[in-house]
Parts: sequence; C-alpha cells; structure tokens
Amino acid sequence: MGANMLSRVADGMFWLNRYMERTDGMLLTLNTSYILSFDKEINDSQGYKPLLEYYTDLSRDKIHAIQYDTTYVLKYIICDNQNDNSVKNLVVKARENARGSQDKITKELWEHINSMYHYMNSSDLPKKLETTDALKIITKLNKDLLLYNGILQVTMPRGLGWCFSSIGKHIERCLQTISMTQAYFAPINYNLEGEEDLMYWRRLLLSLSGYELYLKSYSNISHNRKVVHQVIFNMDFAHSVIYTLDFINTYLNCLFKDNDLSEARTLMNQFGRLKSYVAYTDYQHLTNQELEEVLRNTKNQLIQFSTDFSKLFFSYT
Amino acid sequence: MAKLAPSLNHSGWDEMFSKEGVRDSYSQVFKTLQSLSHKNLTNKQQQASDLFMNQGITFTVYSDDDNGIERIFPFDIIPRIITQKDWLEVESGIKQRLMALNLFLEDIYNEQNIIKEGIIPAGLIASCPHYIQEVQGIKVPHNIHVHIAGIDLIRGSKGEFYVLEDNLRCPSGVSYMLENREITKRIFPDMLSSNHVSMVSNYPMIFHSILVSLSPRNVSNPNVVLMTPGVYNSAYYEHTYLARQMGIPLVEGRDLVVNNNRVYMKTTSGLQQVDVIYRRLDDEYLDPLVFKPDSALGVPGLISAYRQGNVALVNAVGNGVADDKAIYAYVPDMIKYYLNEEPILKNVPTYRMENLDEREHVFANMETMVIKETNQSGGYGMIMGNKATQEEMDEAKIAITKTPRNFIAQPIIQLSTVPCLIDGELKLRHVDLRPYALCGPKGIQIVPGGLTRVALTEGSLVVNSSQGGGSKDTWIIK
Repeated sequence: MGANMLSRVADGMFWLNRYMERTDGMLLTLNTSYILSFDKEINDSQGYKPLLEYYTDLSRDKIHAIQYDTTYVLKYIICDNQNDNSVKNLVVKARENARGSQDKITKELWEHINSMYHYMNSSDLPKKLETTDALKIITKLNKDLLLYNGILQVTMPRGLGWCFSSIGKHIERCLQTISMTQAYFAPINYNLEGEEDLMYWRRLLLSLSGYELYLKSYSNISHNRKVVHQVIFNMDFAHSVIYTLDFINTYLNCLFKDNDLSEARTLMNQFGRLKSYVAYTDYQHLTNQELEEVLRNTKNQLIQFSTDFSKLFFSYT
Repeated sequence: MAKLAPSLNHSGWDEMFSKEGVRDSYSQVFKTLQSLSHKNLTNKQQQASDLFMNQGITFTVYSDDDNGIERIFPFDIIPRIITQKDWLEVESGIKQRLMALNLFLEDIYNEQNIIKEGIIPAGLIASCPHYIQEVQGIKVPHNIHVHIAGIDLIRGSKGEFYVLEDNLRCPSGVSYMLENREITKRIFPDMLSSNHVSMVSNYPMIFHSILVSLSPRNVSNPNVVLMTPGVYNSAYYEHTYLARQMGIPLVEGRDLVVNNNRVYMKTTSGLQQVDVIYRRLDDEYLDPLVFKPDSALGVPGLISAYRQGNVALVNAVGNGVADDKAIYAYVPDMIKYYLNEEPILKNVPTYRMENLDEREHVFANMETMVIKETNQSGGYGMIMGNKATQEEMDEAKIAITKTPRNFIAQPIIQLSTVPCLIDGELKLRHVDLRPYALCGPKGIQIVPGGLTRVALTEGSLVVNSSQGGGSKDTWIIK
C-alpha cells in the first residue's frame, strides 16, 4: 500500500464513492417502485414515499401530495436541478470529486463518470422521462451504476485510495439499508411478529438488491423477523448492516495498520463499539422496541463515526 | 467521396498542395483520404469528437443560467506533416534559441553582463512587468531556468520557418499533442504505420526524469509534484493528464505548507517534504507573502524556501522577462552574444515602438501590421491592421504614443495553410506549430512533433484556442 495520500484527494475519493453509492441505491429504489407501480391490483399504501423521505428534503405535505405521481417523481429524482440529491446533481458532485482526484483514479473510471455526466446533462432527458422511454432511461442508468462498480473493482489499484473509496461506499450503503428498513418497519410499528406478506417486503428487498437471496434463504411464511435477519444480520448479503460494517472494519484496519496516533486508536475503538453493538444484538429475542433502537442508534453512531473519520483524515484546510 | 480539391493558396505556403499537385510528404495521406467516402470521413470526425468529450478533454462555457456547457477543443482529423529535413532545422534552431535564453536568464538574474555591454537596454528589463526583483541573485539547479518551453513557429510564403514567440513560463497544450496522436491512432491506424511517423509518447518519461534530476535533496526517490490552480482552471485537464502520465501527485496550493523554509504536502499520514514542484500557475500567484497578497492559489513562504534552495520550481521564477514581446526582438542578439552563432531560426521582423523612426513607419503602414501588447498572450491585446476599423487604429496610436514600451508591431505574415475537413470538404486554414523543448542537466530534448494550432475561421490568422482555434495531430515523418 502507498505510504500516504493527499488529504484532499482522499476526501475526494471518499465522497466520489459515497455519491455514486447514493445514486445507485436511489436508482434501484426508484426502479423498483416504478416497475411495481404498473401492478395496479397491489394494495400499495406508500407509493414513492420511502424513496422521497430518505433521498429528498421535501416536506411531509409535499411527499403526501406527490407520492403516487410517477412523472413528477421520475423527473424530480432523476434530473431536477433544484433537487440537491437528484441523480443529475449527484453525478455532478461525484464528477467534481473525481476531477479533484483525477490523478489517483483510473482513466477507465474517469471516462465512465464523465460519460454519465454528459448523458445526465443532455437537454432532452426531462422530456423523454414523460414518455415511454422513461423505463429505458432508468434501466440504462442502473446499468451505468453496475458498470461503475465493475470498473471500480477491476481497474482501481488496492492502495490507500481504495481504502478511502471502500469506506465511503460502505458507510453510504449501510445508511441506506438502515433508512430503507426504517421506512418499511415504521408504518407497522416495528412489529416483528406481524403478518405482512411478501408483496409488502418485496419493495424493500428489491430496493436493496436482496430479493432473490431472501427467496433462496428463508422459508416463505412469517416474513417480518426474517427480513430483519436478512437486512441487518446476514453476513452473506452485501447490503446488510453487519456486512457493510465488517467491510468498513477491514479497510479501517488497513488504514490504521502502521498508525500509532492516539486519535487513530480512539476512532478504531469507536468503530469497534459500533460494530459490536450490532454483532452482539440477540436477533432471536429482539423485541419491537429494541429493533427500533438498534436501527436508530446504529444510524446515529455511524453518522458520528463518519464525521470523526473525516476530521482525522481530511482536515486539510 | 468527399471534395478533396480545395482552392489553392496563392498568396502563401500550403503544406499539402503546391501548384504541381499534392506534395510527396502528403501523397499517402491523400491517397487514403481519396479512398474514404464523405460519410466515412464525417464519421471519423464525429468519432474523434466523441473520444475527446468522453475523456473529459473539454473546457466549460458558462451561460446566463449558470449551467456550464462543456465544449471540446476542436480537433481536425487531417494530420499536419513535417518532413525530416524541415524538422532537423526546427530542432537545431530551437535548441540554439533555448540555450541562449537560458544563458540570458542566468545572466539577467545575476551578473547582467548583457546590459553592461549595451546589447539590451537596462530600461527595457527594468520596465518589464515579468522581471522579478525578488529572485535577483538566485542560483537555480544546474543553472537551468527554462525546463520546458513551447516555441511558436509559423511558415512564410516560401515555407521558411519563423519564430513567432517564445513561451517560457507555463507553456500549455502538450497534452493535446499527446492526446491528438492517441486519437489519430484510433481513427487512422493504418495511415500512421505506413507513413513512419515519429513517436511522441515518451514525452512524460523524459520530462519526469528531468524533474527528478532537479531535486535539491540527495535522496533516491524525491517527491515531485505538479501544482495546479485547481479544477476550475481551463488547463486542468492537462494538469491531471500530465500528473497521471508521470505518476506524480497533483497538488493545489492548499495542499502545501512551508515550515522552516521547507515545503511539505498534507497527506493522510502527516506532512511529507516536497522536493520539486512543476507549477502550472503564474509567478504572481505563487506566494502571497511576496506577490499578490490576496492570492489563495499559492503557498505562503514558497519563494523563501525556493531562495534557500530547499525546493526546485519548474519553470524557474522570473522567466517572463525572457518571453516578453519587446525582449523577443533581442533574441537574435542574445544568440550572437552568448553563443557567437548566427540564429538558425529567424524572428518575425519586429518594430520597437520606443524607437521613433520605427514607430512612424508602423503608423504610416498600419494596415499591413499587427500590433501586439507586450504583456498579453493567448491572442488577446492584438490588433490586425488589415481587419481593424479606423477608430480602433486611432485608439491604438494614442495608446502606443502614451506607453510605447507596452507595444510592438510586426508585419502581417500569411501563415501557411493545411487542409482541414470542414462540412465534409477539404478547406485550407492557417496554422502555426508549437514544439515542446525540455531542458535538463543532460541537455535539450525535443520530442519530434508538437501542437499544430489551426484558425478554423476562413481567412483568420488567429490560431489561439481562446479565440476559437482548433488543433491537428503533427507528424514528423522519417
């Protein structure tokens, strides 16, 4: 591993991957809700609400007003300049971070981000989203994100930059999983013994790329507690909370391998407590209230960890 | 088939066509072009544009709604060819010129013998805005001030080369020389190999070894960095390209700090000493303690560390005094004075506006002259006598009379032309050539090639990219 890296560049790579992961998760959620919106017979009580609540700053009233308005949501999520978290704005921010760390990312990765940027800035995109081309556009964007992840895996060197990229990516992924899980458990009061059917959980699981794994891994009755196992405790699920925390832990160890600073030890301890909190939660006897607490506390602690991590490594100004 | 027979250039030199037909050096290229359909050629032009766009080789144009539009620097797919014989003249001429300019800078910032012996007036140096008093007496590694130079050349009506100007501060465009070749490889792979074109891709390696050799510390792996003004600089793509090609960190001023007259970069594992800085920002932004106090781009204390010899800056500080347009007129004299040789490459005849006789001659023949401000570049501060209105010429006369030191005049030279693919047809457009010379302890090296800039507007002689110019791949054929 390279001995060091400019703090500014490390910051850029961290945020590049946070933004791209956010875009990926958001598009997957959008795609899921959009496709399922064609099945009119489903008793859908939420529409695009989980997506809008987590990924936008819209008010409750506004979300209530538009949560079933597909055309509005598509345009707002994909290409609205006023939405700080639109795909367009996230790609712009990702590209800015990529530009700032361009000498540390590969040519292939840069060219891919750049081509996404130009696509998102094409002037006819908003109009096309009002037509039947909308699905093609979402599918293309989903594939672009898959390709991004593939190029990242295949071309990027495994040095410090990779560590910062991976940590950024998995902090973002963990927060997405927690928030989307909250979005589906909150309306049922975190009821672990409830009888919500697979149609209800399918939305959450598809949004987290975990539907197929769920079908293969769990029996087909009493889903609520099993869904919790999959999204929080399943080490084989790449979007589960425990898997993402474990991943972050691996790359923190790489970063801190030769670092004897007391701040580094403090941060490592802080993260160790967070990971242990989830790892040693008794899933079998988890109560409704404890589930709510685990999700809330893990999210808060992870946000605090991200802030402290940035202070330690990126405070270059 | 595309229209491949443009009107001939009767008043100047065309590089592909003579009165007798296609020149030998272009015969293979012309044959290939003839074999391609109009659609095929247009597709290749589009393919080249797409490659530039996707690679981010762009600059941003901002509009009223604040949404930047990214544009590429136009690239014409028809290569510009220079024969080996012509190139040898260019190469030896640039080496000679650069040697003299380096000696001049070493002299002017130390003994100033050239002034004492009356070759160059002291007033001309003292009044030059790019003469930096703060580095007077400085000793730079190996006495090299110009490590990288971009020398702009044009060809006259008989094909003879002239030096139009020297760029000795932060010459840009070398990434386009390299990228243009990469694009040509993709769109005309057969044409390149069959024409025995000299390689340019070793430029970053040569430059990197020069940078390493300048380290003040005797360490096996000195820290070399490329310093950029940041992502919003129009040449940022080039900065990232070169940093990546040389495998060196791309730093901004905020990434560096000076402590105890040593320069350090802020890394994720603490401060690390920097030995050599290839800086791509102008002198006046380098150090707010010495130059512009409000500059946030530079590093406080950098010049002090530089003066102490703890860090090498490439190019050296203060080179602007040697590429000032008024000093340019004296370069042939420098060559004679320092090297006792006749210049191999001619200067464009230059009228010094401080000289009353020369000024009156210019005023009397203004429609055949180009007036240039000595402290401007990039095609700015220039009046073409044959295009200017009477009002513009009158204003220029007043300005020249008021501060003659700030202006020079040169006869308008019809730059040579090269055919370009425009709207599916070959059309003649004016070009210049900027070869890049690298100067290190082992001597001067010039990669066989350069950036051919082309004025895409019909009849225009202004090739600068900031004025709507484009570029071509430049082939030196063996």
